[in-house]
Amino acid sequence: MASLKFQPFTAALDVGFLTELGRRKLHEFGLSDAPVEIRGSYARAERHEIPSPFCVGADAFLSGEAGVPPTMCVAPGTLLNVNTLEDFKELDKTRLLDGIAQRIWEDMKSGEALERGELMLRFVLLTFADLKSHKYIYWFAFPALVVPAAQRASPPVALASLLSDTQRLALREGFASLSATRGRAPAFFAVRVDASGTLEVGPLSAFADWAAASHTPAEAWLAFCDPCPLLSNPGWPLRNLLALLTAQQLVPREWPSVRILAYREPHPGAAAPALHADGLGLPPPPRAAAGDSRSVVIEVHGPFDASPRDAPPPKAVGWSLNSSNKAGPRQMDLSAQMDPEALAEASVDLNLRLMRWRLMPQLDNEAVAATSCLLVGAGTLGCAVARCLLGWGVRTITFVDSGVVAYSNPVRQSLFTFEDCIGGDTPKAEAAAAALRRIFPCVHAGARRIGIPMPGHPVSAAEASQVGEDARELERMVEAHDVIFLLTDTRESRWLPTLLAAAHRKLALTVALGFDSLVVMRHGMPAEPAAPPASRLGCYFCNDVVGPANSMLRRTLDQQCTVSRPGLAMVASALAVELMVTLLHHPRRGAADADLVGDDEAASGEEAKSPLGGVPHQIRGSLPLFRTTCMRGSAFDRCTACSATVVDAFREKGVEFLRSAFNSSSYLEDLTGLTEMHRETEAKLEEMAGLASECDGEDDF
Amino acid sequence: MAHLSPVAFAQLGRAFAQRSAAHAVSWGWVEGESTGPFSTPSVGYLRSSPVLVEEATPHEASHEVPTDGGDDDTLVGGASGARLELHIVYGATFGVPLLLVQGYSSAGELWTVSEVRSHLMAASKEGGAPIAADSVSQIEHPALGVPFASLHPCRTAEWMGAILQRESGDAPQQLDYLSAWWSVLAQSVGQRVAPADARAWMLSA
Repeated sequence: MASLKFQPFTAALDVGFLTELGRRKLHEFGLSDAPVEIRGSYARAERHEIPSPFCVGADAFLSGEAGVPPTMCVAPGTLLNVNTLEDFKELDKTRLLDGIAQRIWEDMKSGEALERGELMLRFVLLTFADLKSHKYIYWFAFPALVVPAAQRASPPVALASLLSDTQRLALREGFASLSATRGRAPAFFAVRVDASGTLEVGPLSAFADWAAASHTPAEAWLAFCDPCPLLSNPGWPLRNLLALLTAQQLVPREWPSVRILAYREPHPGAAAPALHADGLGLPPPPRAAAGDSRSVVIEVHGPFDASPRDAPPPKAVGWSLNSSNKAGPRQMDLSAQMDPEALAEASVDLNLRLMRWRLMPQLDNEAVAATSCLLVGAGTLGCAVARCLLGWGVRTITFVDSGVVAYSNPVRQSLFTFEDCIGGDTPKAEAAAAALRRIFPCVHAGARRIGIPMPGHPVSAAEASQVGEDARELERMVEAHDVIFLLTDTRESRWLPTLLAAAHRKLALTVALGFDSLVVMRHGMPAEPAAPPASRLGCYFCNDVVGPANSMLRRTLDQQCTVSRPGLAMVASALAVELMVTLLHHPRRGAADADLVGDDEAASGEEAKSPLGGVPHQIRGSLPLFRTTCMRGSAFDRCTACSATVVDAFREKGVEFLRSAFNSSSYLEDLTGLTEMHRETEAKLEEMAGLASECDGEDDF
Repeated sequence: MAHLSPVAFAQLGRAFAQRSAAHAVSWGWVEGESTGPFSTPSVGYLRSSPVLVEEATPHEASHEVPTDGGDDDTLVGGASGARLELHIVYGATFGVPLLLVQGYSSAGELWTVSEVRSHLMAASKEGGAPIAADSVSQIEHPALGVPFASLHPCRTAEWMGAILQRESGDAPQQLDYLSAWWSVLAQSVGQRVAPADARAWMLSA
């Protein structure tokens, strides 16, 4: 008797599966190459000459059966995604296959496979995902247990030669209702044809009882959904069904043979006509005729003696062939299909995540990426801060600036080029945002051309409504972002953003430059109502005993533009961004107290630390000394920008309050009590001067 | 004009998948998921069982004996075909369902958009409702983020409006929009699909 040849599964991998694999590799698996449970599915062959493929799509990672079309049989699989090409090559394929075959055998022995036939369809998918070049190498294995029963099978005969048209329609209806009760097509099932010719379809687990009650093998059949369309051969699922006969005493010992149906009946479809867009009815699609069938029946001859309970599993085969019909992996190259923006985004993600996998597992890239940053000032500092934020994967960056790009700007301000200067009317904020989008199309870069109203810069009646609008727009911007960077070039222009950040409890970071010195400072977050008020950190204005005033008056040319050593802005901007990222990793985030580098471990507490390092309050640096020093300054209760008095007055009177601050140079000092303090100090000084002269006339001041 | 809300699309999509079991092309409903704390959950989509098609340039199957992996009982060689994967997603811009198509060669390689286009033009002609070349373009799958060919939906709301009105008179809300839509669109991918019960897309109110 010629031995039966089985048509292997044709595996069909969707691009969606590979991109989902890439995504999960980045977000979940990291460097882990532990096996992952996936699922695949196939439909029976039907009418076509083409084998029905075994599909693994984007939904393969979902558990259960939801999302799989109901005509498809679901099979459980094991995904093994290795980290290197060498791992892929060197992995012991035989052992991997044998391991899964062992599980299949155990499920057969325990009887589990009778209840859940799909367990006999377990498959393996070995992959290597080269995420940097979007090339995927994959290799399927469909483990099949090799049993002698295959040698005792007769060549397939057409189902039509065994069943009448009526019986075949009953078979289709029985299969449809079994599918309906289970919610999907069963991979394996049983068929009973009683002596009167009545046909019944039931689950695989019904076979043993049906067989026991039958008089001849013609009355109880085993059946499987066959992806193979060939009239001369059965498909791969039959192999493990035959192995099941070795594992379990399903077929009565005395039976000379058993019939197995390779089910390939067409779908019943429907009789109703299709609609047509322009109202023409089309003839209905031909309803599947009873004779239109590719199903075959295979008769397998005995003996049917189940192996002993502890019998080892038979040898297994099943690694798939590649396109040249050799056992080997296949490759899918998606680099051309992936659109460049998606490529850029995925590559940026990968670089940042590599940092986490290789160096710092605590790194929270998602938290950083999700932080929206408002950059007040799109000059040298704004450009440098933005680029550093991009580097960290920050996706939402908005610039606020009222200026236009000037010819002197591009050499220092890294987001601008000569082209931006031509015409002299390109707004800086817009140009900077456009540059960010050119650098990385996935960034959400925004721009607002807002003049920042400043104390000591009086507002005329004509300007009043514009200034009020600008202040309100700036407030909306502060509200809409998580972190506010203060990057303007005068002291007084930082006042309103400082106040707004305090009023809305946003983290604010100031960067300020001298000629060769820098300060980077995070503003203390106003305490939450419940928290103890004690140790809040100060803001940029807290160390001052004078209110912000117009510093632009009586300046010479060299004083009117910020003159600093060109490297300074980059150093300072980078420090500011790194401070922000470190803070985002601190359990208390913006509310964290300053922990100075070199601080006593015990003093700062074990629990409140950022894995990235210290979270100083201010960093002061000097280029001549090539040194930075961390300092801490507490909030000042008479601060003109962040004290409760000012914040409350702003909350209460809004724009009216701001107008007073802009128009009167002494308003803020009067409000906060600084004026009074000055008077007291003067008095004290006079008093002490008096005392000093009374002693020995030494002058320590 | 007849538009569909995302919520209605999801409801109809689930029911559509459930009813598709009797058809050669059956559908699975994949639930939408939330991709992050700041994004709204995606709508979910329908995916078809594979649609097998004759390959334009058949892959030359060799008949070599496998070196390993199989055994004497493994059949080697034989015909294999190309396949289409169909997805139905919610087109937010037009407020209508969107048919997305991916084609794969028998060797498992993804078809280009122009390969999909020429296939659809031929298949739709055969199906009796030829489509124009410019109605097929490449878009990104809203849930999967991978490129698919799409049939342009710009007139969908218009002809759906006409169908719904004709078929249901003055109670268009009782019609299953999605089934009616698919019974028209199926012809563009060479499928002759009729709803399981002609009035199944009349929702039993």
